[in-house]
This record gives sequence, C-alpha cells and structure tokens, in this order.
Amino acid sequence: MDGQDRVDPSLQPRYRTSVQQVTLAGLVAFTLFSLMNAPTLLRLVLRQPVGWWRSVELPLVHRLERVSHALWLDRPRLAADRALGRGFGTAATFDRLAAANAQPRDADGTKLPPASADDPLDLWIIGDSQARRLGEALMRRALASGVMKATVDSRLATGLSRSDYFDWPSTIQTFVESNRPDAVVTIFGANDPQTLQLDTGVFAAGDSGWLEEYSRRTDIVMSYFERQGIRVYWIGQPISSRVVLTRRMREENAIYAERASMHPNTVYIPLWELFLDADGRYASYLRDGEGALVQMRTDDGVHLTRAGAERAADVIFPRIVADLPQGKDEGASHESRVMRGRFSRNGP
Amino acid sequence: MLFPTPQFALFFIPIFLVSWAVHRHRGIWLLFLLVASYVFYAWWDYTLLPLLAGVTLFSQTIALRLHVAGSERARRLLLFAGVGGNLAVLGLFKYYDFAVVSASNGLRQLGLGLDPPLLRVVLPIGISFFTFQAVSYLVDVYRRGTEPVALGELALYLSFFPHLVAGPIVRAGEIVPQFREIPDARRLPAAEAFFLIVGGLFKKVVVASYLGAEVVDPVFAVPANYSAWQTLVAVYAYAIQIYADFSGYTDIAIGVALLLGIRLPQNFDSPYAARSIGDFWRRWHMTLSRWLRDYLYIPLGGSRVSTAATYRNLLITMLLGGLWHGAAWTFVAWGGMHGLFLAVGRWRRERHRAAREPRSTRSVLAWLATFHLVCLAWIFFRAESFDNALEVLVRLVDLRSAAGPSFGAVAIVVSMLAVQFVPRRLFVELEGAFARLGPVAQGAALAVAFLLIDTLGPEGVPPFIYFQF
Repeated sequence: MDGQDRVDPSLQPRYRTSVQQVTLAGLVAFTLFSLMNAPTLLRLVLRQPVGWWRSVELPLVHRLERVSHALWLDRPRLAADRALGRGFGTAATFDRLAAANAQPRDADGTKLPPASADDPLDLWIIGDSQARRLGEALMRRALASGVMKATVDSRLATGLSRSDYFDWPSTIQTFVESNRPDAVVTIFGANDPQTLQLDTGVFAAGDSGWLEEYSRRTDIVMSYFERQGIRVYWIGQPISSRVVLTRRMREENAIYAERASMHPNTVYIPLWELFLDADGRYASYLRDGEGALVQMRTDDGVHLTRAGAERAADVIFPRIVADLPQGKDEGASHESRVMRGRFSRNGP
Repeated sequence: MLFPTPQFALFFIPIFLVSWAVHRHRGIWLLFLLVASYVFYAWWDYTLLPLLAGVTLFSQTIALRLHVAGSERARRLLLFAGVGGNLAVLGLFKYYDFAVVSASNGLRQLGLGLDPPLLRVVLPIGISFFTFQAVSYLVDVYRRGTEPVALGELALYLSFFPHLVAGPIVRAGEIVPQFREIPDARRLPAAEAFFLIVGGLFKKVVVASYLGAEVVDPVFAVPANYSAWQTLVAVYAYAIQIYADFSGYTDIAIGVALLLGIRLPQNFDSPYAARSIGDFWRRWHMTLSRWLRDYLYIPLGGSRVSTAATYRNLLITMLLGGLWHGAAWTFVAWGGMHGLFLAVGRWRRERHRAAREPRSTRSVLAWLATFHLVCLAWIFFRAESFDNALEVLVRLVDLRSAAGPSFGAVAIVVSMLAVQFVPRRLFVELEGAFARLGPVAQGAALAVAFLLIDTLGPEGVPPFIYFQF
C-alpha cells in the first residue's frame, strides 16, 4: 500500500487542515522530538568536524539536553540506545587502549599460525568505508583458500581522529578479547584529516601537533596488536582525486609506514602506486590483468569499486599467504603449503 | 541533502512558513519556490546549477519556436533538436564513459588497442529525471497537448525540489496548472501529507536500511559464504529493500509537496501484489512506466503494428528503460528480461484470446510466478557484474548447506509483502482518525513516530538507491 494509492474517488482525502493548524502541529512535533531525541542530537553535534558551526550549535544542544533530562523526556531514547549498544567514546579511549594489559599468548605476531581447513586462519578486516569492498574482496579470497576465514568490520565515516564519533579503540579491544583473531587487516585515514580538539590545543589536519597526535594514536593501535601477538597488515590509502585530501593521505601514509617499521608484527602495504595512471596521476579507469579498461574508483574519487578492491586484494592477499608457515617443521598444513605454491607461481 | 536528515528538516521548515506567507502573491510565491529549489540543488553541487538552468533555457527556446513553427517539417526538426539536445546532455554525462569503455574493450578483444579519452565527470544528481521531464514537455508541446509555459514556470517545473533528484517524473500539464492557482491555506491535506512522510521515512530509514546492510549487501558481496536459503531470502529482501527505498523516497517527496500545496502524481501502487508483469509495471515506478509508454513505446508504433513489431517495441522500450537506470550491461539485462516477460505475457494473452479460452484464474499461482520473475530480474539489477549475478544464481541452487536465514529478515520480508494486500480503505480510515486529533495531539503523535523511526534506524542513513540513476 502506497500513500498516494487513491484510485477510488470515495477514498479521496476529506480531511483538510488550515496552515495555522499544520504549523502548530509541526511546531509541537519538532519541539517534542528535539527534546526526546536530545541525547542523539548532542551526539550528532559532537561528531561534527570542529569548527565555528559546531561551536554555535554545541551550547544550544547542551541546553536542550539539560532541559530534556530535567523533564525525563530523554529517558526512552537513552534506554533504547543502551539496549542497542550505542554510545560514543572520547579521545581518552586511546589512552585506555595504550594501557590495556597484554593477554598471555603463544604467538608473537611476527608470523602467522598454521592454517588448515579444520583450523582456519582467523582474519579480521577493519576500518572506514574503504574496508567494506576491500574486506569483501579479501573475504572472497579467504573463503576460496579453504584455510582462512574472514570477518569484515567496516564503519562508515570513521577513523582514528575522532574516537568521539566512533570508538575504534574500544571496538578493537572488545573484539580482540572475545574473538582472538590471528591476523588483522586495517585501513584507516580517508576520514581522518579533520581538526583535533585536545587538552593541549586545537590542531588542524597537517599541523605538526596533529601529525604528532595521529602518529601517537597509530602507534597505540599497532602496539596493542603487538602486545596481543597478532599479525597486522596495515593498508595505506590509495591516491584520491581530491587535491587536499591526497596531500593529507600522503602524510598519513608516511606515518603508517614509519610506525609499522617500529613494530615487528606489523606490515605496511601501500596502495598508492596501484591506482596511478601511466603519467603517475589519479585515474578512475585502469586496465585490469586482462587488459580491459575497468572503473576502479567510485565517482567520489576516494572509494574503490569492486574491481578496484580486487586490484588491491591482488596485492594484499599474496602477502598474507606468504606469511603462512612454509615448512613441515613450522607446522604448516598441507593446504596452506599448496596454496602458497599456487599464489607464488601464478598469483591469485 | 537527504530527506531523512536534520539538515532537510531545517531547510524545509522556513520554506514551508515563507511559502505560505507569500502564497497569495503568485509571482513572489513561484520565485521563492524556484530559488528554494535551486538552493536545494546547489546543496548537492553548486557547479551543476548552470546545467539545470541550461537545460531549462534550451528546452524553453525550442518549445517557443516549436509552438509558432508553421510547417510540419520545421516542427519535426525542432522537436528532433530539442529531444536530441536533452538526450545528448544525458548521454554525455551518464553514458559517454560507459560507451567509450565498452567500445575500447570490445576493440581490444579484436586485437585493436585504443586508449580513448574519458570524460571522467561525476553524474549530476537528478539528471535522468529532469532531462526526461524536459523531453516530455517538448513532445507535449509538439503534440499540442500543452501550450508553452512561462520560463519561470518551466524552471520551477523542472527543478521543484521535492521531485528534483528522484522523481516522480511529472508532466508539465500536471504541475504547471497548480502553479497558476493560489493554493487554499484553509484546506491543506495535512493528515495525508504527514502519513506519507512518516510512512516514507519508516520504509527508508528502518526497512530499507536494515535489509540493505544486514541481509542484502553481505550476500551479494560474498555469495559463497551463504546457503541457498539465505541467498533466496536476500533476493526477496532486495525486492523489498528497493521498493521500501524508492517508494519511501517518493512518499516523502509527495508529502513534502502536499505541504506546499502541490500534488505530485502517484508513483507506486502495491507493486508486489501484481499478478502479471504488465500489472507490475502499472504499479511500479508508474511515472516512468507511462513516460516510456507515451514517449517511446507508442512513437515506436506500440501495439498498433504487426505482432512481431509489437514484441520488438516491447523489447526496445524495456531495454532502453533498463539502460535509463544506469550505465551498465546488468541494467540492460534487467530491462531485457522485463521486455521478454512482457512479450511472453502478451503472447499468452493473445493465445488465450484466439482459442477463446478463459485465462487462468489461479491468481495465487499468477502472483507467485510474477513475484519470482521480478525477483529473478532484480538479481541482475543489484549485482555489480554478470559474474556476481551468476554467483548468486549458483548459490540459489546449491543445497549443500542448510544454514537458515535470520528470523528478522524473514519477518520483515513477509510483513512488507503482506502490507501490499491490506485494503487501502484501512489506511484512509487511519488517516481520518489522525486528522480528527487536535494539532497538539497530532504533533505529539508525529514526535513519537519520528523518535521511533530514528531509534530503529541505523546511525547514518545511506543515500536513496534511485539517486544514482
């Protein structure tokens, strides 16, 4: 049933209202909804990029939230959010991750454990929206390998800059403690070039203070995985069609590479070169392995298409396979030895 | 600026208030709505405003000349130029890269390597809709079905923000007369508008978002990970997702326009209650169906030609209808399948008529067959490539895994299908009950409904599927 479905004239609406009444009803609806939804409105405003608009909105929404709380109108929404496990963190959650205790574990993260059909390698693919298609491409390969299984956790518009928007440190800690993945593939950065508001000051993306803090956060995540004995494949952002974003991504990629070199469990895999045309510039269409011209990037100039994700996975997956134990003495399964041979000869 | 966002609410509230404050002064009212519509479009990408304005000016120039042209030859030439110009704009932005890449890859197969220049432009949002409306205006003027309208009226007709980015595809004759009447501020169909907006939001934010993210996307991304039952439910879920997404959008669009005193045409009529593919197309995206019928199928000869030519016309119409949805061969396949289904349906009807046999009255079977044929075609519509579609089809017949679908997905699919059969009188009565409430109670009910939708929906609503077309 669709609302405009009124073929029968007898069903034509007979209920007419004056504009004044509609305005009053709208006003009541808007006010009451804003009050009942004040916790979410506050969250939305807090998640906005730091700037003048956010500074104007924040005191207004704070006041609304206080009124809502005093009138108990926010309780249904808060209860529903609690039931649905929704919440948001703060910059301090990175410090909590930094302080998280290491769990006893046999592996040191510098190599992968043996993998077999009975005991497949557990791959966890995490990151911003780039992680979705990339994760799916890796998942298809993992599934086809017969000795790996993969889980993708891609969160739209998230990253390491704004843990108040999405709390990656807590998400990582919770997942690792309950699921103990063997290896993690991460891709962050596309949403990270935004102003950081810290106790020490406000830093625009690209500032030395911003670079220092971003480097610290990257290191906290890598260190946590290292303490947990988990192998990490940290994927760099591919070039973007947007000039400023591309500049920022270069800086982020440099941080990832530099920090990864300090953690023996972490491998940095750049994608930058993979999406350049013959002149070394951004290209949305590139030739695939068979020479066909294929759209590799979506129209926004940032994300990967399915074909683009396949192109990236063609580089990442063999790197993971190469880390599987090779000899019998290292506990390699027959399947993983066969698979490794196949990838090294022909590519995926 | 998506409809289900605080930004749109903050955009619309002043539009509503100012529009009714100035509505008695027709010129100011229309100018205000036009400026609001251009601001709405600029919010997406202000660099595209010249394109929208250019299509308007070009179409008006042709329409005025077409109206005064003396000879039929001149009129035809002008129509050809007008329609061709609009389709060229659509083709350049939407299909140029697709055509060039397809040709390049085809030639490469023949051993001819070419690196043709690509346009590499972002598809302007709503271009498929406003160019089709411009074409319908020109054809209607040519057919003398409508007089050329004033430039401001045409500009507002093409850009009116509720229908600008994803329809319904409106005809000038439906909407321009409404611009010429001063709407009655004492007789607003507000209950109907609120029901449409709340229902549309629920369908989009809750149903379509959940099914897309939790059921459909994972299965189409890695079909090998799922059993036949899970895949089957994902295909059904996609049918519901795209219906909830698109009809949700148009319900909101129609409701928003009603609050401004403008009635847009109906676009959906319980499409999954259809008992034949022809019936489906009379209920699904109805404004596109009638556009294809009036401006493509009938000019091709429609059914007033030989039987073979009628089947050809059906196929051409649906193939082009498929291509209209997107520059990819999977959309062409989707359209082709519907063309084939329509042709077979017509052939069966003709056969029954010739034999003077009553047509099958087993309507449950007819409904089941129709729904499953529509779902089969949706696989190609949703898949990112033919390989992806084949993967899904293979999973549907691979019975090695018995893993079942989630209860939530099945419950939503069944509920949404059941709603298609609920008598419309029930909805009208509910609307009446709402209308009889006082404005304060109406406002409170709306607030609770909005809160429920916002709570049940995901954090961050994905764009409407039809925005990409």
